[in-house]
Amino acid sequence: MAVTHSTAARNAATDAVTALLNASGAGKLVFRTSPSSVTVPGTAVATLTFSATAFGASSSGIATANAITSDTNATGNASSVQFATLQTGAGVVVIQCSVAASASDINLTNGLTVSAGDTVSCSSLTYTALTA
Amino acid sequence: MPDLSGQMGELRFTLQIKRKETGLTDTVELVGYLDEEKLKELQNGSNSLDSSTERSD
Repeated sequence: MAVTHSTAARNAATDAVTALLNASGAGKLVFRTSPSSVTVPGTAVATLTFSATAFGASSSGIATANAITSDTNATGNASSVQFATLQTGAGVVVIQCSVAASASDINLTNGLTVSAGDTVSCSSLTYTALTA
Repeated sequence: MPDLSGQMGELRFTLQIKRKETGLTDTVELVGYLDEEKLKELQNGSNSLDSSTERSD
């Protein structure tokens, strides 16, 4: 039996999570290769920086990230990106999801490989803690 | 006790990757789910997510 949340509840849940990213200065959006967990993040390939306030207030359960500073000199790796983490300025991972060419919770048809020196930018990022 | 579950989190990204070697920019639309069950479903090959890669030179 599924649970349906009110819009107010969805906003509260989303805002509670995104607020954690602002805990210690500008947070980071990090793309990683190695298998990782929330407590043991893997090897960073590219590191982008959130604004001091990472996300605006949630609306209809969805929070939109404020401007994100690009990584203009990515570390890169021969292996495709496998994970993305959203973490505080102190490096505490708040959100993690998998990234892969297929069969993952982020699906890239052709995989995503970042080379050393590439510039990685994120022009749009939204997050919702509860989708219904 | 009934197995109660809500719909779990979702991330949506638009990334641009400018390649140092070529100067070309790849634009990638990403959808990410944080739900472990959704992940298992995708790992089993019943992937219903949209994704695309687009090159804008």
